Amino acid sequence: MRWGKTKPDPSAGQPAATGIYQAGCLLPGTDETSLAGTDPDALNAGIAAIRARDANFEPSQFIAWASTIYGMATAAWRTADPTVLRSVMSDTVYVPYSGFVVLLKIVPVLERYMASATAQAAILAADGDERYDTVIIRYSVVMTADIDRRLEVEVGSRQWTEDWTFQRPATYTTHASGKVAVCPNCGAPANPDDVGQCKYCKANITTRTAGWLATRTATTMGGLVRAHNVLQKQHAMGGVPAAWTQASGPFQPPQQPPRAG
Amino acid sequence: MKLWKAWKSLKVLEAAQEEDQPGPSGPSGARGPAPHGGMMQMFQRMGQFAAGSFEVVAPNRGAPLPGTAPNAVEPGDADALAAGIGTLKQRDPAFDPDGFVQFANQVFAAVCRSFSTADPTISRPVLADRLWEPMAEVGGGPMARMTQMFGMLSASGALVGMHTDPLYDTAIVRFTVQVPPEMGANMPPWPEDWTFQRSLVVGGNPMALAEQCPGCGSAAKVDVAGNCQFCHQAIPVRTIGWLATTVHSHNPMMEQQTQAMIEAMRANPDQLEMAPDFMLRQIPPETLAEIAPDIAARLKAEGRLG
Repeated sequence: MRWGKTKPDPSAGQPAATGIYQAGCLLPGTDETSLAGTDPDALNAGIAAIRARDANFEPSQFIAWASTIYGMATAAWRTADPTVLRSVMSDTVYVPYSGFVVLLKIVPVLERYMASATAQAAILAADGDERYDTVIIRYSVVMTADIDRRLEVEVGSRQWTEDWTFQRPATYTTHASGKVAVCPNCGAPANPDDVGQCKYCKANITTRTAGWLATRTATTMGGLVRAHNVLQKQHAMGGVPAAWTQASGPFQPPQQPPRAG
Repeated sequence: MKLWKAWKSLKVLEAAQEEDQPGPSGPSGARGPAPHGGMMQMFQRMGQFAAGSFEVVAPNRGAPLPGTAPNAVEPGDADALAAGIGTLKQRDPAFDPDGFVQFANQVFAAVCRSFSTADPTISRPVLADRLWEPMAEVGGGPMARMTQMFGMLSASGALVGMHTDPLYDTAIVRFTVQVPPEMGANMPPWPEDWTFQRSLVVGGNPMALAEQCPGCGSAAKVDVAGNCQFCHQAIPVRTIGWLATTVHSHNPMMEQQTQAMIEAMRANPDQLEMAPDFMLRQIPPETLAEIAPDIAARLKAEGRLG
């Protein structure tokens, strides 16, 4: 199974398995086994389970909304401002994700590369039970910026997949129009990238949630996966650079060379 | 103090940017482009960090000790290197090139250790102020993850330059730097030239200004350019031993970033005056003179180009 874990993991920002960097955790009590099936029958059954309680749930509308969320993510990289994602991410996803965006501030070249990413969204798995509705969106991401050839960025860091798990309490339903994003005040449909006031009730809708939150993300982006694995290993070794330890043994503070006179 | 000047410059830029912010926000809450284009945006982002955050990763870092001969910090050919080593050995028979390179490798490892453990004190005894202060400023702050990544680097050095003069011994070590194989097998190694210097007169821990100006004999008081405020001659420093004083890195990623910065400055040469010193030092002097000769001449006279 892709996700590598069978129980919700309270720790955020952990690699689920080699080749995947995972952040966040599913809402407590989520039945993850019901999300394991990604074949068409299982997917249709999961969507049907959601629609049984929420007839207005439209997969195509949800995919359109999810696409705008990824657009917001690339905007966050472009502006170095992760707060636009705050309203659609759980804490365990937002904290490491915003940290990653902030990290890129120091190397604007990387920031530009990441901001050039475009994604095709598709529903990978879905499920509805008495507690939550859960939809996993798979983004197939391609970096479109011209990358400096000296960096020799491998294919796995130029195109990769990201699986974002969106969840909402089972008590939430979709607006009659099928729109996923709604005004949190009056419930009227809203464009996901709307800012300012709801055009119906004039309430501030910059913080709308639409009920759905990204509770877990997993990426196969090669550079990020490797960086995280190395940092984890380094942390486990007490902060000693792995390469130095392997090459030269334990760290020795520099000793000034002898000097005559 | 240079860092303080840089920090003040950034604050001015931040204030200017706030005044110039465009009115309505764009889609997704993103603000529209700043009126001065990418460079002001870049400055604003830099301003969100301590000045040292950029200095620890910039391609050109640190500065030679005051009074260093201009040709001392340039690598020479094999003959020049051999001659330099010979001259030094005449004055210091204990000098061993192999032992020195071993020491230089230890210094590189100490800097990596400082990054990976967020403990700048590890490398304090072997770094000159201009290299160490930005690292200390980053410390265990919000840039800890970034500096951790620099702690992954490994390198081996080779002696490529040696020079002696009445004030200092100067050595240049060329490191071949690489990221761990598991981190980026495709990332090619890159060269970094590190300058190591020690004063002929031992003093300081690890370094301190000489008590008197060697030019006019007055008590050492420096002007904004770091020279004697009376006769304007460089006041030397005393070091406890060899200290790394400059780094010239050819990290391809940072070089590309520097090129982008230069292009931004070409598009907005008026902004050069507001750029913090550590950014100006990333631009080759001839390029700076080409972009804005008047500004370049004045900055040089003010000692802002390092």
